[in-house]
Amino acid sequence: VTLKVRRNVVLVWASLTVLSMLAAYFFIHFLDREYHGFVAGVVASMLEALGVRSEAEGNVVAYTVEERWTAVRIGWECSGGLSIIVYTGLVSGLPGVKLKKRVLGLTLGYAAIFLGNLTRIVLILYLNQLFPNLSYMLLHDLFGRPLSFLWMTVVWFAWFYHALIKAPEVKDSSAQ
Amino acid sequence: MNRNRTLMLVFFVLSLSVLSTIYADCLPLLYLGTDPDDVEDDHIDMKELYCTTNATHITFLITCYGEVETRKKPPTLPRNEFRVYLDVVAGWGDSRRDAPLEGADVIIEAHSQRVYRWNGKKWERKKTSTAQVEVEGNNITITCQLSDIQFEGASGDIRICFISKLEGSKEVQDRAPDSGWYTLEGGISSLTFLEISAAGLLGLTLASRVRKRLGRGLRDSEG
Repeated sequence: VTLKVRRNVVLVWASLTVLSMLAAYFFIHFLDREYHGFVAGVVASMLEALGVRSEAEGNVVAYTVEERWTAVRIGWECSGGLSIIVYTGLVSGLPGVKLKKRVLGLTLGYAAIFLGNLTRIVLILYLNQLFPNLSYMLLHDLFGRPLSFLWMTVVWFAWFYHALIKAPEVKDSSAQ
Repeated sequence: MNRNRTLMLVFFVLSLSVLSTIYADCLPLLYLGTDPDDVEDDHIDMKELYCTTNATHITFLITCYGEVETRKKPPTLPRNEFRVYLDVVAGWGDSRRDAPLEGADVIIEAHSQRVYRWNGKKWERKKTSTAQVEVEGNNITITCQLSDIQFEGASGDIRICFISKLEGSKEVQDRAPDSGWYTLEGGISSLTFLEISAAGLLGLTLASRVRKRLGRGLRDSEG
C-alpha cells in the first residue's frame, strides 16, 4: 500500500512539474515579442549607462563598435526562457514545500534568472565593444557561458537550500 | 520584513519597466560591410551595405561606387538588376546545385520591387508583398515589411547577400560580400537544457552537502 501511495505521490508531483513547465513555455511564447522587446530595451539602456551608444527597436539591440552600428536580435534562445521554464518545473514539482515558500522561490528565482541573463548579454556586448576584433561568440564562450552556469548553480543552490534546509526548520518551529 | 520584500520587488519591476521604455523609433543604419571596387561599371559596383529595422519594416541601403542608373519612366527604379538575398530560416531555402545563393529563402528585387519566397520547390512571387525602392545618386534604398520576409519568426542568425547585374545579363557582375554572407546576429544563446539540468544537479548536491554538514554539526553540539 505504501509503495502504491508513494508511486501516486511521485506521479502527482511529476505531472505538476511537466504541467507547470508547459504553462511557463506557453506563457513565454504568448508574451514572445513583448518579452524579447523588453529584454532588448533594458539591455540597450544598460549599455547606454555603461557609455556605449545603443538603441533598441522591437527585439533588436543596436550598439556601436568602433563608431559603427552593429546589432543583435534578442530571440528565444538568448532571453533565458529555457532556464525559466526548467526552474518553474522543478520548483513547482518539488514535494513537501509550502505554497508561500514556493511562490517566493519562483518570484525571486525569476528575478535572479532574468538579472543574470541581462548581465550576461550586457557583459558580452560591452566586451565586444571594448575588443572589437574578437568575435562576441568567443566572448560568450569564454565568459558568458561559464558565468551563466555558475549563476544558475547559485540560483538552484539557493532554491534547494531554501526548500530542503530552511523549510523543515519552519515545519519544526510550527510543530513546537 | 515581508512588506520590505514586496516593496523591493515592486521597485525592481518599476525600474526595469522605466528602463525598457527607452526605445528608438527606428534603429540607426547598421553597417554590414564594404565591398571592393572590383567591377568595371561603377553604377552596379556595390561599395557599402547597410540595413536597419523598425517595428514593422526592414530597410537595406546599397551604396555604389558610381551614380546608379535609373529607368526613364516613373517610378524611379534602378535600370540594372539589384537583388537582396536573405537566408531567414536556417536549414530551409534554395539548395539546388545551380542556385545563385545556396540556402536563400527570400529574394527582394530592387529593379522590379518584387519579393519572392522559396516554397520548397521553386521561387514564388508574393503578389501582396512589394518592396519600396528609392534611388538617389549612388544610393539605393529598399524597404519591405518584416512580415513579408518572415523576419519576426526567425530564430538564429539572418544571412544577407546582395547581387547586381547589368540589365538582361545572365552573369552576376557584383556580389557583396564577395564570398559568404553578411550576418544579422541572432542573439547570444543562453544555457542549453543539459547545462541547466547539470547546474540544477550541482545546486542540489551542494545543498545536500550543506544539509548533511549542518545535521552533523547539530548532532555534535547536542552530543
